[in-house]
Amino acid sequence: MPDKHRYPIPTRKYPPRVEIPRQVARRDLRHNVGAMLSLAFLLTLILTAILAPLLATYDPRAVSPENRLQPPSQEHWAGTDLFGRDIFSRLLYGTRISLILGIVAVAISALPGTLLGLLAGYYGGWVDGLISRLMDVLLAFPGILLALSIVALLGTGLSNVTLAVGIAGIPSYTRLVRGSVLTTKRELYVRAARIIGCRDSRIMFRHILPNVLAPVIVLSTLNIAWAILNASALNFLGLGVELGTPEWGAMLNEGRGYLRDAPWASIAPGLMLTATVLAINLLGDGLRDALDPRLRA
Amino acid sequence: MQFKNTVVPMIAISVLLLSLTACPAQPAVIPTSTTPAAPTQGGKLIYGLTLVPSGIDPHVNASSELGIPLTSVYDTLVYQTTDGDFVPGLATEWEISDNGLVYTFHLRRDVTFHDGTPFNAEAVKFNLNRIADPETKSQKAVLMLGPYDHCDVVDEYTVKVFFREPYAPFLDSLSQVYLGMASPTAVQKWGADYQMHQVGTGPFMFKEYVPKDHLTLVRNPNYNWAPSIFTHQGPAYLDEIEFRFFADPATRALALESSEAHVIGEIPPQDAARLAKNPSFRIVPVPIPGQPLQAFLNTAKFPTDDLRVRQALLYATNRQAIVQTIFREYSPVAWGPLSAVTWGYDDSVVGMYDYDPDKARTLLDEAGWQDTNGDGIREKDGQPLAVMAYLMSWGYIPEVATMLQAQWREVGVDFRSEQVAYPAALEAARLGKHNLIMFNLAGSDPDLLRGFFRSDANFNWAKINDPQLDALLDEGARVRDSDKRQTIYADIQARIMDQALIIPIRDYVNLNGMSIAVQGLIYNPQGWFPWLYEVWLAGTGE
Repeated sequence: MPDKHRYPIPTRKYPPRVEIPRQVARRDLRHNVGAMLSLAFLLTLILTAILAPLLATYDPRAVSPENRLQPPSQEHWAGTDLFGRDIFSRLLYGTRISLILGIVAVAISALPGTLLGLLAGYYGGWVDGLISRLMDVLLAFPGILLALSIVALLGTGLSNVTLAVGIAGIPSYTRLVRGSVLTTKRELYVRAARIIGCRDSRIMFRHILPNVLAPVIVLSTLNIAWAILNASALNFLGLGVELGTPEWGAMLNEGRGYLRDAPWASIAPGLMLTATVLAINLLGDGLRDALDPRLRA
Repeated sequence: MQFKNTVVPMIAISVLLLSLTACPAQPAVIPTSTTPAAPTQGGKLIYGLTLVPSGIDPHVNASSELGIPLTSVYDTLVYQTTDGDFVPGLATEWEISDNGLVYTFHLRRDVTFHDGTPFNAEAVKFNLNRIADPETKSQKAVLMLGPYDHCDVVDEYTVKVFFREPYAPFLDSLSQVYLGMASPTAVQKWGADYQMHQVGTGPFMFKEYVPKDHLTLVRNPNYNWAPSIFTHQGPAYLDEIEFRFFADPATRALALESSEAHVIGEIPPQDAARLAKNPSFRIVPVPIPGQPLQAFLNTAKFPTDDLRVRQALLYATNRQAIVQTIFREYSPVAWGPLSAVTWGYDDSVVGMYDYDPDKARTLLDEAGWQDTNGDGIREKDGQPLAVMAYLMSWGYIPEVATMLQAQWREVGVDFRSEQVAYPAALEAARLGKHNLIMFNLAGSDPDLLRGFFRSDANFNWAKINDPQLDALLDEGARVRDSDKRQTIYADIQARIMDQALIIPIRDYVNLNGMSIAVQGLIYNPQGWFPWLYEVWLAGTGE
């Protein structure tokens, strides 16, 4: 009789279900309120960018001096600027520029950054030395200063600003990927791949790359915010977009001269920039929490 | 970590933004009576400068900003009244030879430099030779000196100045701080470092200059040789003047309102309109002679090489709207290459190319430009009608360009632009990469047009090569008879506008804002430079 209860009775009828990491990540993310709100905001923003011509109440470039510096009203939801342009419509079109710029800039940093990191981490030796020293040089400058110098070299313009911000972002990827590769390449499956005679490129791209990608995705998300902010800073300084382009940073700068009389001209683009960058950061943080197994208690 | 890296600057920006917008206007209360009493002695004036000059030796450097403080440090041989007449300064009288090649100056005998050395004919010779010496690397004064040849000292207080050819603007040049009289002893003593230790004969003495921060002048207690343009003799009223820099236009009105400065130039029009309503402040608009803000059209580059296109651009420009939007009621619309207050200005240009978009469209049609693909921009032989502009960031150039872009689009012209720093703009303009570049230069003599429209001029940004215009410009510099000169410059202005070389936008007006405590401040005929000798502060002793 007593033997019957010698061992603890299993509380479950079935063995515990093994959750695959992807599902865990998805669930974690879904339970993160901030990240989900941010995601909703960003999706709205993307829709706005696509539908800007339909949503805008005015031509974002149309000048009408007789309507200059009007406060927000039913006609002009966010007021008008010095030239009587409708700020709300300009904000909508600005969404397009900022989002595209952020994504393109991140692509410019992530692709070469990841590749360089992969090479440096995998081959080590002089390849690593060369790439790492090069990245150290780039990292020695604050991102915005580096971007400024690149714009000074390439000339002004939206595409050059995007390129500059993209290049300035490369080192962070290289460092991140290099570090991950250093640990991953000691894994058993990598050694196995080598033993069965896989070529280096196959080992790097088929075996190592998929396993270092998660942090790259997180960094990319966060970097979109960084890129948008820095590009706005360059546009604020008048180095980016062409005259009249409804870009948030440029709008901030245009409004700066008459802050006292028409604060809305600067506040509106400032708020959009703040909200967008904040949302992307919150989403990025959510992604990191979800994807990084070390953070899971 | 990444989160922090992005979020911190972001928060900083928004906080900055909010703090800037949230702080209410704090009108400075300056105790003062509204009716100016007799001038009081003493007090320290704080004068806001708008640009940080790269160098401040008037013989060497070209900045207009340096003249604001240094006009009070240096006396000039002659003074120009606001009516344009020349009156004695350090020279009591002068004769000009019939051929216009020799100027004889008789000098005051009672003048000493701030360092105690006497002012005499040798000093004049020293100064003019210093400017002309290539070693000095003068950027502006040497150009103002024109075809100067040499100086002869006749006796201690008589000096003869010789020219290689007649040079009409000489007295105008001599009346400006760039040809002010510096102490030869001090110049020799300090050498390359002289700009930090300047010594003149003026009503204020140079005390200290900390680049990018402040420049201080103190009263010259021995001053007793004020020219007749002033109402009193003896030392100046103020004890001390401190010049501070307010380079960001957005900070200038704030600096006045928070009593950080008594006077500041170049107040943004929007702020000036607000300050004008405040009884504690006065806005003093000073029209600046010289060139208006204008867009030079490159006659050597497609498509502005076609006169009809240039004329169409002029007709398509609604200057009234531009001026009302950006410069408000303070600036007059400009019609020609000289602003209306410049000597030699000819009013027959008024109304030329008045806003007429239909005429612009007709001209473009005639020139073969049609919108064939319906994108709102005209084309010819598959090329869009696009003009490339290089824009500097000062003087409301980007704002004006924004208006031009919108106005020209109405008639089917695509305005493309790049914002560049001053040296890059000069380089682009020199190479002729532009269709359009905006600029203006101040100057009280119309001879300044020679530097822009002569075929070999450095700043020939219209890339014009017109032998007749060259001849007129040369003659204008030589002829001394003022009626004849006037006719020549009338021809020049008409010729420039007939060929549509420029689009004049607005006459330059410097909006000076000042506390009502500031009394007796007047500006010299160049408009930029204040005469601070008779300034006093009402209600001082704070």
